Order: sequence, then C-alpha cells, then structure tokens
Amino acid sequence: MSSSDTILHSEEKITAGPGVAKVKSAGFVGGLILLLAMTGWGFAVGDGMQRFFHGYLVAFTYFNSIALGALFFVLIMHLMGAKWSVNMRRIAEILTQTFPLLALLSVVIWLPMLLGNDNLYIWSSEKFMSENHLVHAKGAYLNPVFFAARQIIYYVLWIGLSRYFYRTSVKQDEGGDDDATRRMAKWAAPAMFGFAFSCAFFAFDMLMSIDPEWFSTMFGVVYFAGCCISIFALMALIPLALQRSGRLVHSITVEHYHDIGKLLFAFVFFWGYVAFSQFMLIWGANIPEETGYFWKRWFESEGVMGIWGKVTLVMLVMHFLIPFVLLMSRHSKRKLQVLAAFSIWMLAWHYLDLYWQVMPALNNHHTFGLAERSATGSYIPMDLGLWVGMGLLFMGYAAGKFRNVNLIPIKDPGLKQSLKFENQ
Amino acid sequence: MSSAETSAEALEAREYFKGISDSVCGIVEAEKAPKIWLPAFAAAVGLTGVLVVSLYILLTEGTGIWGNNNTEAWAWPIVNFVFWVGIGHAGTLISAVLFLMRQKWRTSINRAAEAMTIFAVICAGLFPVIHTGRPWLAYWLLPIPNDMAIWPQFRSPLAWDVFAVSTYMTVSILFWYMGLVPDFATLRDRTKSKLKHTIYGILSLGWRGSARQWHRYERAYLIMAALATPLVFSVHSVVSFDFAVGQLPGWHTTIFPPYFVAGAIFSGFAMVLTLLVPARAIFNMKHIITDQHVENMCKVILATGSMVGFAYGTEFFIAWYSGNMYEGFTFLNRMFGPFAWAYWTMITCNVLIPQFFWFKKIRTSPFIIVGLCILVNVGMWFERFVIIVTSLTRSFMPGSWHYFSPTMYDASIFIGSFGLFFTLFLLFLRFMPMIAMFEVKGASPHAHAGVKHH
Repeated sequence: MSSSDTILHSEEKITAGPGVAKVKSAGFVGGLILLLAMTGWGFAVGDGMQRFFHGYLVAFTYFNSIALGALFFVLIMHLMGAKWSVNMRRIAEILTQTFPLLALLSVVIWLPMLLGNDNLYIWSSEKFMSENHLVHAKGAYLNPVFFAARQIIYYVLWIGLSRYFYRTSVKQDEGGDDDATRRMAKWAAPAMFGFAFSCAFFAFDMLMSIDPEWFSTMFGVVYFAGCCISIFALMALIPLALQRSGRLVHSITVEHYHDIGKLLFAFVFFWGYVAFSQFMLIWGANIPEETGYFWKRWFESEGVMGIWGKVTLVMLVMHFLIPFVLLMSRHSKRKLQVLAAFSIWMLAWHYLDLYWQVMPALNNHHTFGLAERSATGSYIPMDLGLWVGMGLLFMGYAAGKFRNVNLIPIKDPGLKQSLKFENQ
Repeated sequence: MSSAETSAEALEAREYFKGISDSVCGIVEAEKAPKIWLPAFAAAVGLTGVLVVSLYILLTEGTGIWGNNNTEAWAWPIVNFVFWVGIGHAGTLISAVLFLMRQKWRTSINRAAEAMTIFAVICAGLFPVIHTGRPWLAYWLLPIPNDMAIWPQFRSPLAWDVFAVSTYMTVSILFWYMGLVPDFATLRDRTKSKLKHTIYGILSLGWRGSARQWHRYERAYLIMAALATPLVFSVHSVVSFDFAVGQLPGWHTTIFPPYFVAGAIFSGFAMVLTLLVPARAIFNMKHIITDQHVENMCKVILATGSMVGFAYGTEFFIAWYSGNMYEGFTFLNRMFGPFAWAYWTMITCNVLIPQFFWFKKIRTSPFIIVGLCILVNVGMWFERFVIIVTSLTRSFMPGSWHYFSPTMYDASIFIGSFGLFFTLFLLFLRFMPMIAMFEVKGASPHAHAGVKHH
C-alpha cells in the first residue's frame, strides 16, 4: 500500500456499488420508452412535432448545461489549484463523460433541419427567410449546415477536453504521478478559453436563435450561470446519494458541502445579476427588435399581462429571491437536508428558466398559449415527459460511467489537504 | 506535544510577530522617510498644483476650455471618471471578496489596496462634479426636499451613480478604518511620543485587544465584508448602465455590467501592482508582500484581462449578428475609423499585453511587471475613451459627426488627478501602517501553531 492510499479512511468504499448497474438499465429502459412515447405523440397530432421539438430543446439544453457545468467545475478547480474540492472532483469528471450521449441527442435538433424540417428554428424556413430581411442578413450564420457544423465542433471540443481531464486523472489513480496534476492545471488554462467561447456560442445557437431577430451579448453569460447552478446543485446531491449508499462516507464532510452551498448561493446571485441586467437594459432602451423578446414573455396582448408574465414573476421569486435569502445563512448550507432541498429546488427552477426561454418562441410558428391543447389534451405532459425521459436516459448513461472507476482521485497530491479541509 | 516543543514554537511565533510589527511600524516610526519618498512626494504635490491651477481656470472660464463639443458632450471628464472608479475596484475585491473566499494571501496587500480604493474614488468623484459645469450646485444631484419640488431623475442611471458611488465611498472608508483600528492600537502602544500616543489612542477607539473585542471585531468584519461584496459588482455595473441604458450604438449592449466589473478589477489590480511592486522594494517589505503575492495578482490580471477580451469578442460578433447597421458601423468605425489608433491601443494593452503573464518568468520580474501593468492602465483608459468618444463622434446622423480633440486643460486636469492620487497615497505610506499587521499575523502558520488536528 502506498502512502497516499493510507490517507483515506481504512474502511472507505471508493467504488460504486451494484446499484449503479440497476440505475443504468432502469434509466436506459425508462428513458427510451418515455422519449419514444413522446415522439409518437408528437407525430400523432397536428402541430405535435412543433411542440415536440421545442420541448426537446428545453430538455436537451437542460442536460447539456449539467455536463457543461461539470466541465467548468473540473477546469476551474485545476486552474485555481483548489485543494478543498479534490475529493469531489472525480464526480464532476465522471459527469463530463456524458458528452457523447449529448452529442447524439443534439443530432435530433440539427439532422431534421438539414433534411428540411423547419419546426424548431424559424430561420431554417426558406419562406420565412425570404420574407424577413433582418434575419435574412444573418443567413451566413443562421443556416442549417453551418449550425450543424458548429454543433459538431462544440462536441468534438467538449468530448476531447472531458476525456483528457478524466483519463489523466484516472491514470493518476494507478501510478500516483504528481506531475499529472501540474499538466492538468496547465491545460486547464487554454481549455477555459475554449470553454468560454463554446459555451456562449452554444447558447447563442441553440437558445438565442430561437427568436432570430433578437440578440443580447449577455445571453451566453446567463446560460453559463444556469450551468453553474445545475452543477453545484448536483455536486451536493450526487455525493449525498453516494454517501447514503455507503460510499465516500469518511471522505466528504459537511465542510465540503458547505463550500458547495456557498458556490450554489453565489451563482444564484450571479444568475439574478446577469438575468436582471439583461432584462433591465433592454427594457430601458426600448428598441423594438430587442424588446420583442421580452414582450412575448410578458404580455398576452397590448398592455395585458399573460401567463408568461406570471412565469417571469414566479422565476424572480423562486429562482432568485427565495434561494438568495434562505441560502445566505451558514446553517442552511451546513444542514444537509436543507442544502439538498435547495439543490433540488434550483434544478427544478433552472428547468423553468430554459422553458421560459424556449416555449414562447412557438409563437413564431403559430399563435400559442401555454395551455394550448391538441386533440389529445394539454401538451404540457409532453414537455415534462421529454424532460423526465431525457433525464432518465442521462442518469442511466451517467450511472454507467460511475462503474469501474474510483469515486475519488486517490493519488491526487491535493487529496490530503482536501480531506482535512475546514471552514473557519 | 511536549511543553518544551510548545514553548519553542511560541517563542518562534513571538519573534515572527514582533518582526512584522517592527517592519510595518518601522516605516511610520522612522524619523526620516526613505530617500526617494521626499522627491516623489514633491513631484506628486507639484502635479496636484497643476490640478488646482487647472481647476481654478476651469471654474473661472467654464467648461468651454475643454475639447467637449455638442457632439462629444461627455468626452474626457467621463472617461476619467470611469477610469478612476475602475481603479478602485481592486481594493474592494481584495478586502471583501477574497476575504469571503478565505484567500489568506490577501492580508499583505489589502490595506494598501483599500487605501488606493478611497483615493481613486476621490479622484473619480471630482470629474462628474466639475463636469456639471456648476460644481457649487453639485448637491442638486442628491434628492434633497426643496420648495420647488425638483428631484433628480430617478429613472436615470446617472442618478443611481450618485448613490452607487457615494455608498461605495462610505463603505470603503468604514471598512478601511475598521481594519486600521487594531493596528492603530499597536502604533499607540509602541510610540514613545505623548502626542502620537494621544492621536493614535483616539484613532484606535480604545482598542485593548481582549478576547471579547476580537470576537466581536471578527463578526463585524465578516458582516462588513459581506456588505461590501455586492458593491464590487454594483458600482461598476451602475457605471456601465450609464452607457448601456442608452440607445447609442456601441453603448447599448447587455454584457456591459459584468464586462465593466471585470475591466475594473483588471485595471485596479494593475494599479495595485504598479504601486506595490516599487513600494515593497523601497520599504523593504519583500518578506511580507512576497513574490507569491505578486504572482497571484499577475494571474488575476491575466484572468480578468481575458474576460475583457471575451467581452470584446462577444460584442463584436453580436454587432454583426444583430443585423443593426448602426451597431455594425460603430464597430467597424472603431477599428478602421479616425480613432482606429485608440482602438488598437486598447486591444493591444488589454487583450494582448496581459497574455505575457502566462509566463512565470515574467510574473517574477518586477520591472517587466510594472511596465506591463502601466500599459494595462493605459489600455483601460483607452477602453473608456473608445467607448465614449468613438460612439459619440459618429452616431446616427452623419451631419453631426465631429472629430474630437482634447485641449491642454483636458490633459492637465487628468494628469493633475494623478498628482492628487499619488500625494494621498504617499502620505498614507508614510503615516499609516501600509500592511494590515494583525491580519498578516493571523494568517501566518505561527498563529495556528500548537493547534493541530488529529
């Protein structure tokens, strides 16, 4: 036994149990069934496919934000030389291994578009482009081929980065190569540049271009804030789940959760800051091509607040004010049930945030209300079904990555400090 | 642990603590300042004189002596205002944000950086006040109840600025003074002069250093840090709103708030390094402000400089993507128009220059660091110049396009404000503890000797 093995508690279980195999198969089966059912529903009714694609986009950008958040977690911790989080870093590294699944899921967005389906992005419709001069001017950027090419570039980059950091770290477990830590810190720096631009442009492409007249330089930053909220929520929940099943019980303490809670709090604040700034500046300047975005997300008709206005206010309270006030206290971050509850809370409202960004764009295709019904009833279960279905699939895929790997970087030179970490 | 070991450790710790007090208090207690201090002070006072004379001429002649014109109503005074407010941000970031993040390396630099914040805000405040043209009516900026029921325009970010900057000033002074209290007490207890004893005694507010005082002090300090943290974001965000709420191409863009904050921290750290790298050499503080501290600050500059670069890139892309011809024109005009020289100076200094800090060799060469940091400050001044001047000189109506040329008084007031800044900073270095002694001691391993976790 080498010296670094002994820093962990002698009875510590550092590999996932047989439960993950069950999660994996259940997730895959449940997820695929749900997704296929929703696809069937979409095909079966009139405008169903339009709704399907929008719901799919919400779910897809949601789970992509988790993986991007995990990549950011890995990069920033290396870049800062953070020691406190070393014991949790492997979990984030494992989560970044979901990019291949997400790459596959992204095909559903761009492949139909390449084949001439314009149900999602109105700019992919030739008729719309020929009638709309303003958007037509962006045609060099907003066209299906370039869009697909960009998606492929993003995923090549993200899969490449996440593999490098994951494999180098896992390899360190065997050899205890201290130099690997230095190499990863070094590569984290250029990787961060790649991350920043790809994350912002992914958000521009996937979410901002849904309303193609609209533009906002802050948009990428708002999506980034969402990525951070979802990862810090999960970095509380996943370790808690692992510890419940008897893993890492001695290696992750309330001190680590406390810091994760602080980061969750910080990004709740940051999200409020950037989302409000974006709104306030556009509202204040009141330029038609910009305010249209918020108009759709507030009014039903001239001067009458609609359902989306209410959703906006719900988000202000639920996504920002309540967690901001209640997570401020040291006690709520150190009381693990409370932290877990807020993590779940934030993951839920993060979904609503993306839902609020995407769904009103259905108006580009036909007049749309949230309560829109088809022959088969409300569409909302379809949106939620896509979210849950993709969530199960994501969970199953991620669970598979938790097998056959140490859940903690046992030979990382910073681990000793991490285990001893205490807030003062 | 044996008692012999404990006492040896305690002895070593006492020596270390005394060493810190001796080196920091030594500067204040010394009969004579280091040789270079007096000429530097004389030069700074001379420049302040330039400021005073220029202000006198300004007040007697009016703002017509500036290069401002109808097209270019804001020009240098607002450029200088934003520049100086930005400089101040490093101090608050170091003292509040890094405190909340438990970054102990901050302890050796926070005092000087906080002082710099206050002096920079003083310089910043000067400009909008004189820019009003009738500074004796500057109190109209405040919502003071009056007979004619005239109020500031609360919907304007310019009015928010008044609140943001004055709050910032107040909190910065309180925070700074609070940190000074225990150190004033140290000076009081060391001095042999009766007069100084009284002065430091009053300033230290009866500090005795009892456990109860320390306990309350640390709680209060934490609360102050938590209150000051939003200020790091809010002040420069509100400054950015001054521009971004408008509709002028090049001003109206949503990324401004975080981008201005990053830029402010960027320029502030560059100023901290410009001042502290020479100061630590002159006052022999290299054992307290170590090479590691300097390196860390270089890394902060690199990180924030890159964020600023990211914002430039995003703005540029969206200017095209927006399909707005005015927006697109503004950016091309910045690059290739009459002020292209200013634009490329900005890009070089703010985006390219900080990239040198990737190299450890550069992060450890004091002369190069100071040189690069001065260039960063030049770049950040030009950033505000580019934003304000290029957008205004060529806005919507070509009929009102106008080239902008500053006058001698634009320059003399700006240069003079450096005189004011340096005068204050040099006085601070000489008469106040430039390093937070008690915090350095508290963060040292000696303070935790004997407390071992098993």
